[in-house]
Amino acid sequence: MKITVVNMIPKSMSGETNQDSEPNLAVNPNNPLQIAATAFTPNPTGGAFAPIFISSDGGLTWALNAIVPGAVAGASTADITTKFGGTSNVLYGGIMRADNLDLNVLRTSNYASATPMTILETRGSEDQPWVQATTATGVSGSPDRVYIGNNDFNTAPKTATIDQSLNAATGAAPSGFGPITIASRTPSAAPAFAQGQNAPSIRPVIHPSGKIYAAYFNWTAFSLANMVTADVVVCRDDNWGSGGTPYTSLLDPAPPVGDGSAGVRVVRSTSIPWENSNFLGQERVGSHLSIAVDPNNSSRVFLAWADFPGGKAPYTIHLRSSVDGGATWSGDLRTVANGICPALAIDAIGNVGFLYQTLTGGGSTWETHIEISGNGFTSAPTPIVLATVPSGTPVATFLPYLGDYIYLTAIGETFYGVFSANNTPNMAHFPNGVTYLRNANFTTQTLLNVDNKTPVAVSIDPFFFSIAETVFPPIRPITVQPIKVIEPIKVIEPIRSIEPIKTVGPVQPVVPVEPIEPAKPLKPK
Amino acid sequence: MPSVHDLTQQAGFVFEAEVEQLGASTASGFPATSETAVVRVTKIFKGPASLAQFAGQRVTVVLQSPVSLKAGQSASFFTHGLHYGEGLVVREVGNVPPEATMDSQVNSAAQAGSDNDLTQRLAQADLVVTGVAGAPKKYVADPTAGPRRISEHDPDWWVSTIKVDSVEKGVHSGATKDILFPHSMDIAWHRSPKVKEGDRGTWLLHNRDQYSKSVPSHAVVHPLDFQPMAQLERVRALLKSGQ
Repeated sequence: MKITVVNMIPKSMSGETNQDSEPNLAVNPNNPLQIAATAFTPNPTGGAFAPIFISSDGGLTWALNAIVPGAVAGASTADITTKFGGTSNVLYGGIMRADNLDLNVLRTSNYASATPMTILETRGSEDQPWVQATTATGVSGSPDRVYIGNNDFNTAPKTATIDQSLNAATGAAPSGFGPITIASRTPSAAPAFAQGQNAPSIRPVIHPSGKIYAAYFNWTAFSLANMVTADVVVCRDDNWGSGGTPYTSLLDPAPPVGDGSAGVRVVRSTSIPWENSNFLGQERVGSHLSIAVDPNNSSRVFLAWADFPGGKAPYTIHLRSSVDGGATWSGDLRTVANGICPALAIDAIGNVGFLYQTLTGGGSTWETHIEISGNGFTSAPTPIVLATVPSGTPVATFLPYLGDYIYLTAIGETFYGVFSANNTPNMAHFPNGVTYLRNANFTTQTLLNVDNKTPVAVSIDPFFFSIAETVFPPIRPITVQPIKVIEPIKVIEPIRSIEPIKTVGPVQPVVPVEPIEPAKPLKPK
Repeated sequence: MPSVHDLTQQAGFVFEAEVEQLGASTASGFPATSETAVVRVTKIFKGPASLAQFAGQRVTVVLQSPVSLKAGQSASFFTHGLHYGEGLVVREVGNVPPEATMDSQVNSAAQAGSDNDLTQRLAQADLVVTGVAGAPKKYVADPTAGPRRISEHDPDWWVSTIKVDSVEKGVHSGATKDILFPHSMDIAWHRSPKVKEGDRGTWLLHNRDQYSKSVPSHAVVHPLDFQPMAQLERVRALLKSGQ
């Protein structure tokens, strides 16, 4: 197993001190050397376009490419996720624009080009677009199919929505994109707010067969103390979301066991604190959710969310699985106390990756862990600690401090992920190693500016990582160093001949010593 | 040819540099073209703090008119960042020959830009008052005002009562004025003014937020919507010039 961790801030940005939180990642399945990533990172010089991170060498080096519309000087895009199509090399994005908070669906056929991304769709009153994409190679014409979970307040109280296109790679805007409400139940109104709604996290995931799963929270109450009562729901469509009644393939059990509605309630009436302030360390909580499907078994699904177990602290991540397409679910396979940002992925041979961040050391430390299980978490794997950093520094400039989400994906037998953390150049913070692209002195644990001299304050940076089961290093351009002049070899004196060792004769057996009679005392003369 | 004033308004990174090589690039991920030039920065006139140490560094400039420059020639470049990798690539809005007074010209233009931004914000304000802020408290929404939305991007309105010293724009007759401000530290709101008891200055009050969405009552939402008392004469002058 080879673990690679890279601080993604490029060398030319060595002077930056931004809070680059809430990262997301897109690996091109057609060429995993091509990776795009996002975070709350503004364009340092302003201008009309915000940046994405790009890598063309499998994540070893990164650059910022300012191609996202709707930028505001000094501000980052409000929410942003991107994904590549399966074989098309097209990158899709879902953003909340910095200038007006509207949802934009974006597309570019060349993620590294300086040409701005094309706007395919615009809508106000939105939240948290979450992009997933693939190329439907089994469908005539191999179209790109894109599914963007989002919280669409225009359809309240049922706000859980997927904007999808069944042929997204080509065509003029909106290129087939349009919203589908996936919430089947009416979230209840409550004294604290008059409008029912779903939670911000709407998480679709695609199986190559055309099964689309989506997880979301069905809020049923919201107390004056900011405690949500919620169901954790998984719904499914079995034909790319294309039928007349999409996302209704998976039904809750019939009454009286369930309500028979579309979307199985994996957990009912759990308590989730909604705290948009420093709650865990300097981080907020309220809507953490992730889902993954096995690429080789469309019925094998893993789900993670966070809540207050039994209505009581600590805020805890739960991991569960289903082997029957979401109809029934296991009990907790793993729980992580004081955990946030669960992120799940399943690789090509069925290994399940479970990435999360957890506040440890009595609140002093944020740790980023990944657990990889080859047996579906029937036993608890030893967590791989990617980062263990102070939670109190730097002081947050905004929320989220680390992110409302991080991301994990798998291509083949390699897991790729991204998280944000304190960027102090201290090897002890990264037990599996780390590479910094920005200037840093690990001896003095000091970040340095582009002049490689001036100290730079600690901040939050995005970190890319990959974990390869089979170690094939990505192809990189080779820099040939000039050959140093080799000093002539000194003449060595000939070795003197060594006299042959004389043959030693066989050892003669030792004749046992005959016992000697004790000496008789001398008689006095 | 655009003026230094106009170029400065359009550019986020302004510097003087000597052209080292045309048709070259310092960034491996940004191939050289006939439009790119590698320059060495000699002076920085305007830019973000994160690029303040670029004096002496090599930068790739995507030129508008490559033929206008030659290797060895110096110019003042007005640019925006395009690609930030191992090397920095900027796209020029324009360039002009170096001048001894360029620093003051750019500073003057930047100040004018700042004035222009504040003038626009004043023009958009419905009411401008001066005064001192009272202790802020959470704003209780009018239950008849419509459904409330729960989002991590919720502004979380708080209210402070301003003891009004003067009315600089609009109409207000009371001795006090309740103003709202976004208490949220979310990414969408953290740059908005966070009112503290005792804050004294000029308050630019709006019926819409910086995203052009309506707000429950007069609010300060943009970073420029609170100006300390020391800026009052400037505010008054800009109000007058903007009329």
